[in-house]
Amino acid sequence: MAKKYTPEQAENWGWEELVACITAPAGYIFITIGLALVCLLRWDGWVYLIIGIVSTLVMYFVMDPKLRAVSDEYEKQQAEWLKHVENVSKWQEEKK
Amino acid sequence: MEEFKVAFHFLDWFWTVTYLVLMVGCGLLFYRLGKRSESDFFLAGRGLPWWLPATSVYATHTATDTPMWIGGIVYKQGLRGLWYTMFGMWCAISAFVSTRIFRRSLAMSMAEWQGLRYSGMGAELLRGWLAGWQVFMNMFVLGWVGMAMGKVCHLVFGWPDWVGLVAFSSVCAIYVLSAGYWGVIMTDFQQGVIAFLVILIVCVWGIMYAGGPSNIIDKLNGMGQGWRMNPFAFTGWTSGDFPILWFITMLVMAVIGGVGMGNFIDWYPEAQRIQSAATVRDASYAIWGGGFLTLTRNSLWAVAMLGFFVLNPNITEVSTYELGWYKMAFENLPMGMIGFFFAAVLAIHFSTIASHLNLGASYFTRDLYHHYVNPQADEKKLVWIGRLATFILLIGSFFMGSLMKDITSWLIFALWLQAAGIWLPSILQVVWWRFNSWGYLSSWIANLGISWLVVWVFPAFGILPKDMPDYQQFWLLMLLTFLIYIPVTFLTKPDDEDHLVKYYAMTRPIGWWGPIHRKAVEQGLIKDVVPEAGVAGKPAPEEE
Repeated sequence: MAKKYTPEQAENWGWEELVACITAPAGYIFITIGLALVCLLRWDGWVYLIIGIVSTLVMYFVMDPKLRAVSDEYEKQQAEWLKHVENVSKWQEEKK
Repeated sequence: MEEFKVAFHFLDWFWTVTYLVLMVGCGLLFYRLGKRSESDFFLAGRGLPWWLPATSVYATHTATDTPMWIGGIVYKQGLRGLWYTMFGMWCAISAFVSTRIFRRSLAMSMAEWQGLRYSGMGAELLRGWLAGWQVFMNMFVLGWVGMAMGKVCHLVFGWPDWVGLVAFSSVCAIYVLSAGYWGVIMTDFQQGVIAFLVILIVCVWGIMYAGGPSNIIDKLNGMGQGWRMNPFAFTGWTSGDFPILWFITMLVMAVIGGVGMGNFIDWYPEAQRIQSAATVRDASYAIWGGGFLTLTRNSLWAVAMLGFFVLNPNITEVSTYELGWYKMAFENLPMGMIGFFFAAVLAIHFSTIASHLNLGASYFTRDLYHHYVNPQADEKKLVWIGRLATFILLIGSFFMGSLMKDITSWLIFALWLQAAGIWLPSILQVVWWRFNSWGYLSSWIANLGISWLVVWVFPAFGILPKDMPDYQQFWLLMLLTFLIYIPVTFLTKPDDEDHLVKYYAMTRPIGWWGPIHRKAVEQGLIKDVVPEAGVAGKPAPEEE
């Protein structure tokens, strides 16, 4: 079961991001090195590859529910902010 | 330089022409969407699913010169050369940190983001500087990549270099001029798929041509070159071609760099892809997926290049072994497949050219024309300015390409500049509220001056060793610029508090934003309170 986040929880940085910041680069490194070694029929390539795939799966299952919640919460507010961004670009004062 | 022995037959021309018609036609199909607004012309209306910008990230970073430099580094260094390509790892952390923050800012470009993060005169100076720099850099990349295509065409067909540069950049410009980013992203998807398949086919073909993996292993061991199959073949802590301290520097720079914005040259095209994604989640996966495809592709190239090394172990001329992958394909693929391969080379080329034409035009239009020249311009006019800027970049790239032989070393120095002294400030601007526009601006200026001193002037006067490794120059530059931008930051006023609060409430940045966080809570803009040291936005105990 995917974890449910309240809007406030989703907005905060937490352990999920920390896990993603460790597992995402690990996934990149181990899969890249593992794939090259597997192409050379090296058994240790499979070890690297499996570690990389597991890291990537951990990243996905930990981070995805939170990313969905962050997205859902943010998408509700972005139209108003986009007006502000356009005004900054056009050097316009915002109407209070 | 050695020329290939390439014979083009009817089937080869058929693939090439079909591909050209398909790409230009596909781009033109999106003409109506591209002309709707500035946001459509530069961001495809901000509504793309993650896999479209992800393939665009991959396609854009697979350029005509990419197999040359990756092939070159692997030929020289073996599998440990893969680490030289790992700078793209910044995408891993960026996907979940800086991408999320940048997507929430809704800034159309990195220059525009400066105007949202900072305030006052400093912000305006930064926006103007970054916009001008990016127009120039995109023109430079267009010239550089265009000239690489010119060289490939010279080697394959014997054409003068300028023919390949002008002809294929111009064909690509047809769909960028008409459909803007819609054309770029839709053709990038097809180009990405074609490029990935052809890279896979050619690499497998090349490995088999070299006798297969077992034969490559046996021959490397027989030549006493077994170390080439070890990605961790270090040459000592500080000595040799692959020192441990270089490796550590690369890991720190690439991985932690993902927290920052603008500390890698690739960040700028990625910023456009981030904003074109439909949601924050789509933006995150676009960057993660694009980075993943780019890095895993390098593994295939690396093994194919080991095969090339086994067949041609004694090449000393860099410009010859850099072309190893092309040579393997053009000389060994069967009739018909050569044209298919050339179509894929065009795909690789077009994806990069199209992206940089549109990206450079976006800085020209949005950050220079729209912001400084005509803030009240309507959407129709902005789209036309976008097209004009695209055309100017195209013409400028021909000029740049023709100068490339003379200016490459200067401009590679300029690229190096961009990564060293502003690496840490680009992180600080994301994670620390007190880092202000003057601090960031001074880091750019200091970096520009100090890098000259560290790379050229000090070694010339014997103050620094002439053969100082680049990773040591990196740390030295970082330290020296730090001694300038930190005092500047503290000696100048913080950015306007209301401006920061507004930015904070919408983007919710990570790091040290305590005072701004509290102000946002006071104003009722956000609900939770009490940031823990170093982690803004920790929920209050009563809300947990």
